[in-house]
Amino acid sequence: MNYSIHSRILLSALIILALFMGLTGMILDKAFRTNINNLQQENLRTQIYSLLAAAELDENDKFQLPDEMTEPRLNLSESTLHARVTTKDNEVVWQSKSMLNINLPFIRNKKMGEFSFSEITQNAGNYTLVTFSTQWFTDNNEQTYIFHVAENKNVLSSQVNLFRKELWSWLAGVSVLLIIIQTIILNWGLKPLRYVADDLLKIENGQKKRLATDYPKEITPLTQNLNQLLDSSQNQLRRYRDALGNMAHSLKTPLAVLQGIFSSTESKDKDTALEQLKTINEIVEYQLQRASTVGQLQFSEAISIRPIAEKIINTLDKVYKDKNVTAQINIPGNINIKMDEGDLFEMLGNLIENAYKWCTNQVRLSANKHNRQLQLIIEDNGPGISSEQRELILLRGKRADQSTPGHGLGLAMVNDMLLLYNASMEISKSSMDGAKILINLQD
Amino acid sequence: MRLLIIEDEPHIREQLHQYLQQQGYAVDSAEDGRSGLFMGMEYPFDLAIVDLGLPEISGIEVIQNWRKQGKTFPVLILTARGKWQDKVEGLEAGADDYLVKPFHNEELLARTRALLRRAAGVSQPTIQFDGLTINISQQTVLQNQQELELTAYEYKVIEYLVMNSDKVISKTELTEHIYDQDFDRDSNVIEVFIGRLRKKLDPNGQLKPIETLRGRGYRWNLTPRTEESKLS
Repeated sequence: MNYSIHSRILLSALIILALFMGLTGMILDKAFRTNINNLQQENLRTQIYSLLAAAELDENDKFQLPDEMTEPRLNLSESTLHARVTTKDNEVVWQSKSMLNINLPFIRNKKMGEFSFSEITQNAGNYTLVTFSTQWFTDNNEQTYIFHVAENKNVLSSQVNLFRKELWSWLAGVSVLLIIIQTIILNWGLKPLRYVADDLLKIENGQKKRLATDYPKEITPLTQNLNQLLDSSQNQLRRYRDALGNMAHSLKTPLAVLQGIFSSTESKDKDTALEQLKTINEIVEYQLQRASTVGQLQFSEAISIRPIAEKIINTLDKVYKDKNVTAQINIPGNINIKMDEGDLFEMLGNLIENAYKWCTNQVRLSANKHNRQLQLIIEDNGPGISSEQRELILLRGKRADQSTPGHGLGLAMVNDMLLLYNASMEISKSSMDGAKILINLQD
Repeated sequence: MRLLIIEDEPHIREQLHQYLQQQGYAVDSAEDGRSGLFMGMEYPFDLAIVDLGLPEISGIEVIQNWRKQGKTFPVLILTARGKWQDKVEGLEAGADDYLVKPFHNEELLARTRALLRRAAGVSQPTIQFDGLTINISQQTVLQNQQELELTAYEYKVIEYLVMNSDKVISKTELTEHIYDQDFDRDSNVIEVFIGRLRKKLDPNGQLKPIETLRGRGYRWNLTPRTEESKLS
């Protein structure tokens, strides 16, 4: 079973606590009972001694004990203490008043001058019985008397019960206290781990780039390694993209040179050469775009859409100055997207430039987010996109319009890029009459 | 109009230089960011074409430096990577347009003309005056629907004067903007050009398109017809 560290520690602490408390309780209980039994036996011995002291023989050598004893419990009929004196032939010579309503079997003790203890059950009660045999010598004969004293054990068990109640409630109280303390210690002790988990969640959500560095020394190896992993994955990504960028640069410059040479020569193959150059360039452009798209990463940062959209709009306002485009941005500043920044630039750049290119004079950007579902809408008031063209654009991995570079290519690139983000693109007619591009992205 | 090209790739630099010269511009070129930055600061260019990936000083830094020093001529950036982040960065640094390599020379020329026109505050490629129409994209001057025969330098003088019609242009300034650095200048040539232009543009002496301000220079003296006046 996969228990959490928290429940593992808590569970084992609980088991140990229960065993420890149970054992302690049992030992204390046992000790208390032994102790209280000893006390009872001592008390019974004392009773025997006081009976012996009070006993005497009259002038006819007849055994005598006063009817009223100094121990009040012997004088009450409803009592817990009982006494009787018999001869060795089991003939009762005396018994206490408390014996009136009870018939106890008394056991004869054969050894002289020794106390003998036993447990007896009678009249639905448990009794501790002590017997003591003694020989009295008179002038003409000797007589053996056996002293019996019995005490009801109920007196003890009520005391034991009281003790037990007290003992176990204290133990329970201490256990609860210990569990509370244990939980607090555990929470405090495991706090750094929870912080790591929180940090990781934040990184996953893109709110943070690295783990904090001020962790206790037991988990710094873990967090340092994680940070190194994060750094190296980011570095690797950067190196990869730089390499692609350099490759694009180094391929395009010779292409530009060739294009220039062929443009200025008057060869009969000029058109074919230029056409082929254009195709090479578009393939390079298109495949590099696809390859350099980072795609959805577990640890990519969430970035705000609005500032990037504004930057692109500012750029395009400059480039399309003659067109006097009015751009409306209905994107709340708090709408973030978990996308690589370069990818977001490419996506928005291509979409917005397309709108600027085709609009008459108006472009509108809107975004909303419901239940982690992000919708991004780009509209213009241009001629719109025909249904045949829509199909071509939405064919993944295919270029939209082969004849006019740039036209449709940007949208097709965005559509391909969205595949890596599990996002979709819809093309429809805008309420502004032109094209409406809708991007659906699950956050 | 005098243009500056900063491009480290020699083939492209040569091609652009030749092509733009053929199109009637005075062209200077630099092969790295440092010399390009210096030339842009020292000489009066009307437009610069700057490659972003330059040795020594990047294209972005060159543009930023010019703008910081108050240079306002339009800048067209060339980028091989075509990344949106690069384009945005370039335009935020102060460039006015971008072109992704490889490009067609015609595309570059169209962008260059549009930028020059925009910098002069002219919104249309054709500027109409009473009796005269100047088409900047075709580099032609029409007089009553008849195309005038002009030499490349004569056209350059007209274009510069028209594009700067709010200012008085000295002979030196005119020389600097129609000839590149390597040209052996003689300001008397300007007087000859002006004289010839006056005859061609205004054979009857009625329009007086070019005004001479003694000791200061020349000024284009016609006001373009606005859309409203065209309608009326």
